[in-house]
Amino acid sequence: MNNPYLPQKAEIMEVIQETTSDLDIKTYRVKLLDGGTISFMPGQFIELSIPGVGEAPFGFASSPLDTGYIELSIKRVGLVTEALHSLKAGSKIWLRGPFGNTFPVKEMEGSNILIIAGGLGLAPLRPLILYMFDERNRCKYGDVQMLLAARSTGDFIYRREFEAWERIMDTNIIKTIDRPEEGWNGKVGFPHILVGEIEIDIPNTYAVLCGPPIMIKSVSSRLLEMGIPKFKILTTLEMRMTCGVGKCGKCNIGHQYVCIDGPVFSMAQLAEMPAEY
Amino acid sequence: MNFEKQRNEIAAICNTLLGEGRVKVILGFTCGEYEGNAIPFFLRKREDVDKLKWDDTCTPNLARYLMEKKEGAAVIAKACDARAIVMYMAENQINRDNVYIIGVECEGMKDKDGMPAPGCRECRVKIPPVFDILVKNEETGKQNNIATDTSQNGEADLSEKLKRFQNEIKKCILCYSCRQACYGCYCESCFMDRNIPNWLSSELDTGSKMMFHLGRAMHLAGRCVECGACERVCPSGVDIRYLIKEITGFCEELYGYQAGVNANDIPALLSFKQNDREVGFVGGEEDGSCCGT
Amino acid sequence: MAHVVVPKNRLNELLEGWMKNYRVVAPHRNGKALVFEEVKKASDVILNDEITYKSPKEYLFPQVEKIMTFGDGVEPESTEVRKTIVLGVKTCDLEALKVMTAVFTKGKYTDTYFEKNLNNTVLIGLGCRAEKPGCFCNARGLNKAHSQACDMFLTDSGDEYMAEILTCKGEELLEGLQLEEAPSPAAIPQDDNQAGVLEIDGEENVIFNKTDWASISEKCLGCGTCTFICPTCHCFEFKDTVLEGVPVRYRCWDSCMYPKFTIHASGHNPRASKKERYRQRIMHKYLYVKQNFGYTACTGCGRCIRSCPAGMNIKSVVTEIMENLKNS
Repeated sequence: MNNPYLPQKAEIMEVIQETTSDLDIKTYRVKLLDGGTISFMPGQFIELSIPGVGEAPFGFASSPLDTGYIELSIKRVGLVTEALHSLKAGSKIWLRGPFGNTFPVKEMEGSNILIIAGGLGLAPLRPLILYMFDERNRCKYGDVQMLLAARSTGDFIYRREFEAWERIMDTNIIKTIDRPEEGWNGKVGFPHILVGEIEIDIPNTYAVLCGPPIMIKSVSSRLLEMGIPKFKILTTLEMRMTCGVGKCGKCNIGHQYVCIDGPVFSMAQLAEMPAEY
Repeated sequence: MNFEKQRNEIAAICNTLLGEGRVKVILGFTCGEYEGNAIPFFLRKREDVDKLKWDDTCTPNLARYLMEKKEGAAVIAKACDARAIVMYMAENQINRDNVYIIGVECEGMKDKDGMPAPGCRECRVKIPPVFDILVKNEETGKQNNIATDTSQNGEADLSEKLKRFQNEIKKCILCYSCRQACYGCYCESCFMDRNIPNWLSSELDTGSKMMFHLGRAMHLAGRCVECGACERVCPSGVDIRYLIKEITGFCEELYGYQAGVNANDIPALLSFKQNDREVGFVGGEEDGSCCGT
Repeated sequence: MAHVVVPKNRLNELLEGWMKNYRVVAPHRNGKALVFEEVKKASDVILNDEITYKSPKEYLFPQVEKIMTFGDGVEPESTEVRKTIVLGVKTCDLEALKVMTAVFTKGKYTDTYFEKNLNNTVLIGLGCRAEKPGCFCNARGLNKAHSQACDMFLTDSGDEYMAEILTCKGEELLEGLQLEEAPSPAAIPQDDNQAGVLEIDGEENVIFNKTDWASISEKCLGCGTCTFICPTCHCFEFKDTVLEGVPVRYRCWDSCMYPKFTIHASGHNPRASKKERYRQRIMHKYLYVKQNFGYTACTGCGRCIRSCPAGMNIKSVVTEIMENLKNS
């Protein structure tokens, strides 16, 4: 059997600074050195190694339909990410994956999609967004509404793409920050309040959330109040991981491992699981 | 040592405390199911008092549990436990008003083979330095022997000392049980758990083991209460206190300070006097004068 | 299944023969304890009714294992796996290795390091006559006197061992030794277990939320000794370092009882206190592994009960949980 712990060598093609705030988030465009492709579906993650430093899991952040490279958006927060943030284009890193389950893109076809993302939570949702926005797939989904929240204007990621997204057919984007800022014409306020202002076709909508735990809790309870069924509210969880393949015992919530049974879970599933995350 | 008599006295005190509702929980001992020696026991009801045990197998250091039991707790404290409580108060970890100390004079505990338990062999403080009520041991009647312990190993040569340390530490499996059992290791984030900077190298080589034990010895300088809990809990039989004993000796020699013996003392490394000996810090003269200036 | 007689006075001869081609590991006296060590002198081996202080899991799942070296490419491991015989493994440890094998090799992914170690190891079991204080393998539905989860199983019968050969690996070891064949002995009956097998049979969420974990875990020091000596505990961590200029990765034992086991880089810790960690230990062993891999990850060896400095008792905890479930 294949050794699930062996990574493949990759090279950083480009580094893009996403945020201008004290939250340091960069997007890395990476290609495999042997020219191969990592094929993945929205929701999955990959383990990134920096030799001599360590390994950490990150969700894919690029379109699964792009070939030749993948993108990862990474916040500088610990040992591995600190080392990664000092690397530039041309540096070599190691990747292993893809792991985890995926967003149920087939089941979601025919439905309207509501995306609510807070800060870096937009990164694991981007593969889903780009997958749906691809001209081969757009018609399979109904209206797409996005509520993108960040603490301040400097905390948004992928800001450079919002304009293009807004131009996609039947797509509406609302952006909000926590406190008023000079020059900001978008909304101000927290997502769980603003979501009430969005017109949602309740019986035909899938909601996908990602962001800080408190945002997920508050927004999901609001959505449940509004009548969206539990199995149609999806989120993606993060946990400390080591092996990524369900052996090392680190990332379990009850009997389920976030690296194998997740990271994508519906509120219906989470309601059945112990509150240990 | 009359354990029977002491046990009855302790039981009576516990009965009163619980009966009058003065404390919510008493940290004591009971009989272990299999090995016959004592294990920690948290008394909450008067019926629990029957299960109370007090004899020469009561080795666990109960003071450690006080860090979690913030609500009115009583603790059956041998001298070493009471010293630990004094240190907790000196380091602002617990409030004296929240603890009711049942001090018990102790002549020493024994391990499973009937030999003196680790820590008890060289114990110099047999009467608890702080207590709310004291259960005496009539046969002791001794004053606390607080003479400085200068009985050190005798190897002057640094490379020999290093070799001895390495040989001892080789047995260690880095399980961290000693850290968990020690009253003084209560840091939220132990230096060994941090990875920025990455103190612990990945391989279980002698280097990482030395790193852990040296670091822990330094962090316990002037704080070790010589209870022996670390050695008792070690699954590999490492002589853990070997270095710590030396450092404890230095503290006594340089600053005349013994951890936890006097409730009013400020710990040696938490205070500074102008004429403090600075041997080893400044690399200066034996008399503390600083680099000749 | 062949049975042969191995006279005890030929044991040293067998060991010395094996030592020529295998690393032989067997119980030795070390201080007061009995531990599995590599055999240097055949006469040092002790095969008796005692149980070793630590389990022999470290010979299939080392405490520190180098799993790769980084260079231009990545090398899986730099050391060759030695052919090993582990002799004198009791039923509890054999059944525990069955659990570990299921965890590491079943499912979508296989831990190829463990698998390689397992394939290169011959397990020789040894039956127990009496239960030690703390043992509860019987309550867990195991037979202390017999197990087939090995390559060869030895039963002590006075001046000789009755050896049951279970696999080709076991058969190979006895080739050319001209040992007397024995008729299959009568099956050694399992001890009568009136109470039924001790396990947790209930809904995960109910046991997670309704059990009084805070009071159950009060005395626990969080020292982690139980996880080190347990034959089924297998949680691990990767550690990266640079050795003489070469980046390497090790796989090291980790313990769910350690405070920082589940800490995120952000500082968030889903199991921030002792009671959560103790709950994880019990539920992982008795519920989650059973659900995911089909085995309860506890074989009643009793080591954790004997070694715990605070007197924690997993058998009492599980019994208490089941009683509470019945009464609720």
